[in-house]
Amino acid sequence: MSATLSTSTPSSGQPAAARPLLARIARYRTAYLWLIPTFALLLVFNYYPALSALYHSLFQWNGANIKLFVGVTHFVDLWHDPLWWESFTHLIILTVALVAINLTFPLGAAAMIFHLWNLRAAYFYRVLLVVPMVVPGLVILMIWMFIYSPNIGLLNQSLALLGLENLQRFWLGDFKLALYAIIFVGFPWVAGIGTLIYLAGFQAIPTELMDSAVIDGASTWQRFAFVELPMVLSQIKLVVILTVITAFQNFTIVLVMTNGGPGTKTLVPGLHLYKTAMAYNRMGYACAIGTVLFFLTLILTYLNHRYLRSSVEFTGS
Amino acid sequence: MESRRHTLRHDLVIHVMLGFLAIVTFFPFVFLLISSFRPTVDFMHTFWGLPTVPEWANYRDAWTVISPYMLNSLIVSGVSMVGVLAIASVSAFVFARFRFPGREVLFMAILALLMIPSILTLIPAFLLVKDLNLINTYWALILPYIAGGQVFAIFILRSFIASLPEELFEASRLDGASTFQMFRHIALPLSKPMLITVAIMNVLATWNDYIWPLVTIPSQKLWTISLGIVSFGSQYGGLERWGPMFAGYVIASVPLIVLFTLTMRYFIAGLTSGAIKA
Amino acid sequence: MSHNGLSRRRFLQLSGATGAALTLAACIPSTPADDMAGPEAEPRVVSHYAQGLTPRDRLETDRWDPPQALWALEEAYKDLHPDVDLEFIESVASGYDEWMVTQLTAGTAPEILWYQRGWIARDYEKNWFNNLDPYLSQPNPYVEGYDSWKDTFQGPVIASGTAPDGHIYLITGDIVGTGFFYNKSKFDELGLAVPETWAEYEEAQQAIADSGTTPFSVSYHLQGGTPLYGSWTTRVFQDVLYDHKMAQISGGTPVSRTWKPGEGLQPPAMVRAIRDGNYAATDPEWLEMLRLMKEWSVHYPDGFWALPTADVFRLWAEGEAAVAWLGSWMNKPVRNDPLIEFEWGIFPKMPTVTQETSQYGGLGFPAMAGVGGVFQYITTTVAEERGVLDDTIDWLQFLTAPPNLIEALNDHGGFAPGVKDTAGADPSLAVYTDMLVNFGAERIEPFDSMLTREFVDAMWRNLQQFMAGELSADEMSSIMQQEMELAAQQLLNEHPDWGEA
Repeated sequence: MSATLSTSTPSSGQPAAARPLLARIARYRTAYLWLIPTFALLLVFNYYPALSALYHSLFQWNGANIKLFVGVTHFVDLWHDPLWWESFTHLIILTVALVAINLTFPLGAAAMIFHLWNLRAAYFYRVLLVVPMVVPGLVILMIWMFIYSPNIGLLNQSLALLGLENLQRFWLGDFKLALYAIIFVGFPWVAGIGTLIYLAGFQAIPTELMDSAVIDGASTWQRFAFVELPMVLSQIKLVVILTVITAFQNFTIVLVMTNGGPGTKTLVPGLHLYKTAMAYNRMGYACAIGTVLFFLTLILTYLNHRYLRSSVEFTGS
Repeated sequence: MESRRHTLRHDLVIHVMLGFLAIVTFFPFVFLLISSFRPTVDFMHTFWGLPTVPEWANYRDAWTVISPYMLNSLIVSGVSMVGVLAIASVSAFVFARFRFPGREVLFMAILALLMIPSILTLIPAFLLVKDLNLINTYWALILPYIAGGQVFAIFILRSFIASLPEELFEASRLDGASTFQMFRHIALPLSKPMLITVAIMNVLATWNDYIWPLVTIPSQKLWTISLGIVSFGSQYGGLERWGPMFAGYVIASVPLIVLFTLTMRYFIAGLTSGAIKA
Repeated sequence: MSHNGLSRRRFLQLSGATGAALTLAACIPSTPADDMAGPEAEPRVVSHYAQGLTPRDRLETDRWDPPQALWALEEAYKDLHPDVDLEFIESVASGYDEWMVTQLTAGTAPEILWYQRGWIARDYEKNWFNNLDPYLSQPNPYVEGYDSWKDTFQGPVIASGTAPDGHIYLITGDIVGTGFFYNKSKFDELGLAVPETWAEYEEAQQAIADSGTTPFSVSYHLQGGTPLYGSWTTRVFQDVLYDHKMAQISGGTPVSRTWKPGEGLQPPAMVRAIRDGNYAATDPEWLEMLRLMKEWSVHYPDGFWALPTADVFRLWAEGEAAVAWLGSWMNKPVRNDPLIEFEWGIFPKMPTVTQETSQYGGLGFPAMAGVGGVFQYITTTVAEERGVLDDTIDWLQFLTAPPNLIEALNDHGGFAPGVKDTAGADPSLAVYTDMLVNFGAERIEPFDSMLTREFVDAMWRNLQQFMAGELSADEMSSIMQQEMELAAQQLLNEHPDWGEA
């Protein structure tokens, strides 16, 4: 009986769905048993707080003495909240940009490392690109803040040195550029898990596949486009999901660097949520913002899951 | 000799591009190192530049303040990491290799947790940890870290284990291996690079976490290193102890660099092991 | 059946790894830190989050002694009360909002917590902290010669902790000042004197600008800049420009700029004035304030609305800006900075906007100083539950006895004492106390605490846009008028009693 252990190839025997559900559950009881530690921890430390937040989105709640049931009022309010819509627009721009970035720079870096013939050098670069990950995020943000500082910032001073004064901007104070300046933080975006994931993907490509492509006379670019890229599709999918999730949740960067400014030009929903909860103490409304953010991420993840075929399925077909 | 030159010719363009990426990427790290030797007063005048005089005392001060917290961080991050790997690898294996009823639903239920903004659950989670009487214990950090960390770990490990060739499992099944043996002798060894990636990511996240330990660990004795470093800051701009703070960041990153250096070896061993080609 | 292999035994074996991790953790002392609990005979514990006054050891790289006075005072207090233990909570440099809100919500807060007057209106009904009136009306056992504890403070200082219900919830013991720190060498070089009037000041700034130096270093960055400088600028300008209208705003009674408690226009009075149209962002006085601020801003650094706050000092200290607006907490850092290569001083007062500059001008500016810096403490309701409220109050009374308070504040060096008896106070901080005593405090409640927290945020982000030239004065004023009416209405709904004077 080999049906137990399979993802891509449902094997011999009757079709799984034909068996009675209870019998199937009983048959797989050990699989459920193996999942108990995971779900026990999740129930206590993740589902409970999350459901609590979901529940409180239906209340006017200040975290203390006021707790009134208001139904979906907060969601209606959110629909009419101009700050929500503006921050949401920024979020879309940020997400698109970050996905584009994470589909190019880390992928390119991983591909280049993978293609090095000199394995010692490949090892060296990998260390070089990965070690800066130990620098805490707050330090990186501080560095970028003073790179962008309009007066004595590194960027404007360097432009002056090069005689490029006409390119000087106020960066984080520029009402058109601020959001893009935020996106640019972390350039060249290769020190991170993305590069590692892609690299692991490339390394896992069976050598026979590569060899046969070489024998077929494929050029380096053809090999990259038609052999390597399809083989790391599941990694790409993973990175896209992680990027979307990070983009939706991370607001530390704008909190520290601009506090949403200039004006509201870099306000994002996460920061809106943070202020609503921590400064205004409108916990119920904050929970509503969080709930909407959660469902939006869920939908995006589902779409990604649905329309980006993974290499597992690819090889299976 | 010829082949080495050949290799270099092939690699040259890549070296130029990767070299650029590496230099720019490495900049924050170099900056951190240089800054850790600048006297605090230098920071008051400019954020950039070399130290007017190298201030070695930054390191002595930083060590005095943060060394007690180093052990706390090692315990918390270490135990959390082991816990995450143990629990997540099992669950990931189940999700990747069993087609049991409810598999997709359960997996999505785990995946969905990744999408909950953490600031949203800060207060409910804090109240929970308080009700469980965990405040001021390592458990207030470790248990939520394992619970939360495994989500990402399962996610990433599942897709990796799912991508392992079915023939490997088929062959070993024909040899009469049990499921546990398949998990232990096929899935785990082949997942080594991913396990190590997950471990590193997990340690990075817990090592630098700030808000959660801040609210759950009022007792200074149990503080983690990120709390210790932030105590060099100040609510009043101008009163920060910049020098020791940057030295503290360097000291705090040493264990992580050691971890990287050690695991990078296994990482490569895992990637180049014969098993993947088999 | 292949899944026979997946037996319970295997499962147990498997969980061995997890078990090992958990056992490792179990070896670690994991009970709540032992100093938190104890048998009956143990001393009662009062824990105190003293923010900037939190005592700490001097490090090698410290250029002066960090705050340590609370240790000495603790020792003195222990001599009197051996049965009470004090515990100082280590300073929380960032994430204070999250820390405070979670601890107060969960009832795990220390007995004494640093707090800000601007938060009172938001929180006072949450039963997080105590009404201190019953204690303030009794004498402070550690001070002689005053009828009540309250009476030992400068009136406006202690009154600033008043909630909209009229009770005092916050013990405020200090004065925070700001000042125009000027580069004397630069002024001498250009033959400039400290200006008396706004017109003279404008001339001086023009001369400085012509010499290639930025006249005034300030930031309107939304993180730190606008909430600091936008707040100070608007509060002193409003006081001057609205001077002729104060009685109208207050609903009839004149409001003199004094140093007495409760005479300023508190939030309920402002809410009524907004409701009745006696104070509006569309007032000509409001627009005049915007005009003056905008005109002044030509002398600010390029891109000042994106300038990180730390760069305000840097520009000045490096000689690139002639004047910087700094806070009294910079007293020690500036005095102890070996890299400042010029002579410097502080403007004794802000140059006066005369009628020549503005039709609403004429009156001198109020002090660029206010109450409440490092010494603003609430006592949490947790203290009551733990049965140590009396000890908590007693420690605060001991701490605010003038000699003790002055010892603590001198030791910190950035804030002036807010008690009546200031004997022994650091003379370098007298400039701020003098400002308050001589010029008085602003009468219109500052925007920070005038209405709601949402309103403050709206105010600062729109002000930043206005100062950066993205909003015209008219747009700014009509947007803020809407926000004001909205916030005032919300407060009236929440506190119907505010509607009546």
